[in-house]
Parts: sequence; C-alpha cells; structure tokens
Amino acid sequence: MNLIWLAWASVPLYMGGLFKRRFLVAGCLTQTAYLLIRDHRLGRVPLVGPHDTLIFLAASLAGFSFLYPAGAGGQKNRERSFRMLIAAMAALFSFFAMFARPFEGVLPPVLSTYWFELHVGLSFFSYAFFGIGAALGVMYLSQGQQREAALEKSQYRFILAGYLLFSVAMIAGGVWAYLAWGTYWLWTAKELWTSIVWLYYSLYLHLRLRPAWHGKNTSVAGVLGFVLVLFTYLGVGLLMKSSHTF
Amino acid sequence: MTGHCASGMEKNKTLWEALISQRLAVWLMGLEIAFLLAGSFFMVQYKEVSGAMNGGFPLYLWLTRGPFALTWWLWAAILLLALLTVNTLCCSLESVRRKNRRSGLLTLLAPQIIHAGFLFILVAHLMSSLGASKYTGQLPQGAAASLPGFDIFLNSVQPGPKPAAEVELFSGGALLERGVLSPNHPVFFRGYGFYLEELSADPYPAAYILVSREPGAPWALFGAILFIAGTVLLVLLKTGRE
Repeated sequence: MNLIWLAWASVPLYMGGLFKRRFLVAGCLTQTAYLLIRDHRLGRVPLVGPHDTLIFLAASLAGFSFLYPAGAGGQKNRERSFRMLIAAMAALFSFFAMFARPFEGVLPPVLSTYWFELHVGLSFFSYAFFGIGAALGVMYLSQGQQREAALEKSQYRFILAGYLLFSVAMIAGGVWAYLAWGTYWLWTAKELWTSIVWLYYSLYLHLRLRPAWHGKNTSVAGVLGFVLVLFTYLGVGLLMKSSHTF
Repeated sequence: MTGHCASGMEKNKTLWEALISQRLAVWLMGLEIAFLLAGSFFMVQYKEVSGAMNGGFPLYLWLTRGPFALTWWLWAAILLLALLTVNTLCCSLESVRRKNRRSGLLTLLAPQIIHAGFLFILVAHLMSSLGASKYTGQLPQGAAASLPGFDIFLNSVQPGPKPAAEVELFSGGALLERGVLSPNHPVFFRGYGFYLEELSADPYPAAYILVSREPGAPWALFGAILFIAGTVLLVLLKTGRE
C-alpha cells in the first residue's frame, strides 16, 4: 500500500494548526506514523534524501515545540503566535518534501551504520531546536517596546539545547567519517558550512554572555542562525556537491 | 623609574584585559565565519585546487605549495584560530582566577571544560594537518604491497551486498596482524587504519584498499568528549537556573 497519502495529509493538518493546536498535534502524529511505517518497511531509519529529511524536520519541529509551555499563565496570544509560527514552518517543510521522490532503494554499505543514523537524526533534531529558537526570536522582536524577557530566555534555552545536539551530531559524523573514509574531517563545502553554523551558534552563546547584547541583538542572531541552518541544509546540498551527496 | 614601571604595568593590564575580552572572542569568531564563507566559495569555484585538500599528503603541504591567491582564506582562518586559542586560554585562566566571584564550582567548570575540548580539537587538526597520510591502490587477491615498515597481503575477497576482504600484515616474513575489512569496519595497526574502498571481480578478484594515518584522531575524540561533557553540564545548569 502506498503511504504517500499519509505524508500529504500532514500538510493540511499543519495548516489547520495555524488555527487550532489539535491540528498541529495531528500533523505531527501523522508524520511520525509515516516515518515509523517507512522505517519498518525499509528496515532502516528513513533519513536519506530531501523527502525524508524535510518530513523528519517538520515532525521534529512540531514535536519539540510541545516542550515550550507557550500558553502557560493564560497567555493565549503568545500561545497562538507560537503555534502559528511552528505550524507555518512545519507546513512549508512538509509541502516541499512532497516534491522530492522518497528514496526506497538499498543504502550504499557505507551508510549502513548507526553512526550515520545518529549523525543525521541528531542534526535534524538540532535544526528543529534552532527553528523553535528562531520562532521565539520572531515573537520577541514583534512585541515592539514592551518585550517579554522570558521569550528571549526561552529562545536561549532552545538554542543551547540545539547546540548540544548539533555538537553531538558533528562528533558522530566525525567518528563515522573516520571509520568509513579514514579521516574525521573532509575539506568539502558542506563540512565548512557545518563548521560555520557551529561557530555561528558559539558566537551567539558568547554574545549572550554580555548583558549589553541581551535582548534584541541576541534575538536577531537566533533568527539569522536558522536562516544559516536552512542554507547549510538545503542551499549547500543543492549548490555544492560533497561527501554528503549520495 | 617608578612612573615607567607603572606605565608598563598599565600597558600589561590593558593587554590582558583585551585578551580576556568576550568582545574580542565575538569579533574573532565573526571574522572566522567570514573567512570560512569565502573559503567555501573558493572551494566550489576552484575544485581542481581544493580537491587536493583531501589528497594523500598533509594539509600543510597543500597550504604551503598551493597558490596563495586560492589559499589565503585558510591562512587567515588559521591565524584567527591561533588568536582565538590565546583568547580562550586567557579567558579560562581569568575565570579560574576570579573563581570566588562566581556562583559555584560547576558553573565555573562547565565553560572551561568546553574550552579545553575545543582546544584539544584544534590540536588534533594541527597534528593531522602536519602528519596525516593516505595511500590507496588496487590489490589483487593473493598479492602483497609494501608499506613503510610492513607488507600488506590480500588473502581473500568476498563480493556481494556485504563486501569484505581479509588482509594480513607482515614484517620480515612474520605475521603481525590479520583482519577482515568491510565498509565502516577498518582494521587499525601501529597508527595506521586499513579501509576497504571497493571490490572488483573482473578481470580478477581485487580490492581497493586505503591505508590512512590520522595522528590527530585520538586527540579529536578526547576533545569531543570534553566538549560534550562541558556542554551537557552547561545545559543542565542553564535550564535549571535561567
């Protein structure tokens, strides 16, 4: 049975998430089911190619967004803004995923390792955390003069957690590259851009140590970071061939 | 004399304050990003030159022998990393020196562990850039090839969905090591890693074997473990307090 309808279904569900939280939950559950069934059928985590990875990113973004209690203390406007931003991003990623053909083939032997799954899975988890950080940054910046400091702090927490996951993902990639190609570092555009993302978020964390840079500056940096992440993920992959092209 | 001394001390103090400044760290990281961005475009634009960066010789040879017009971005990135190293060391020393002003031991330690991890990773890259080497070639089944200090003999190959090759390492006729190579499963011996790149059955069974020496690898792993340990600690502390 072709499962693609399950992936398609997540798009309108996420769009419904713009209005109701339950649709966001339903979209996330639908995509998780789609990924789990694909995992079972393929006998591996579906993380190869833009179709799988965009869906994985959308589901992670929606799933991890539930960690943020946006509506706590009766903050309905905050809950609505946060949900709408997350739902919009998840819907967009899911929509673009549908234009890429799902990779059903047998993986090259070099990809059949837990290190690969750890590397890619954690990378996309970290992208989701950075995406949530960007959404919180947008909310903070759109508040005008009466900005909530708690939003900026939440952005920092999500970015810090994303930074940890991203660092583990990079290290897992290094271990895998060492076992597969005899070196933990390859000079390719993708690796360089990955280092740029890592350095950028290191810079963000240092920026935040200075009280003078707290607030607007760090929020803008958190939003720009996600733009950099998306370029590294999609732009570099499309424009520059590397060891990450299979 | 006293005034001269005081002026010297004042200069030293100003220099130290500059070296421990987070502003300097931010500027260095920002510039590093800019040079790496430039490098990524140079790498794509001049593939015939950048392709050799992953060649069989140490990176410093590429750096010193390559055209400066195409390698300048890496020189600049290395210079900035050197300055960042000094800045990181000074910041860590200053943090430890001022420990009484900090709220707790773990809060003091977490960033220093991360910094130490980062520095070990840089040391690893430096070691690999100076001493890494790679040899690759086709070895027919039943044949041997000489490497510095020992010979490698291809005992058997197993083509198919799970390719593998059995190799033996000899020195002066004595068997030193025997192992099976398969994708993601190299054999390590005396600082060398032996990797199966490809198998071919026609016109005769043979294996493409890569022999790699990466002296920075253990240091990179050690640095990575420190880095992650420090970051985990920081996440736990910050999510609990912030």
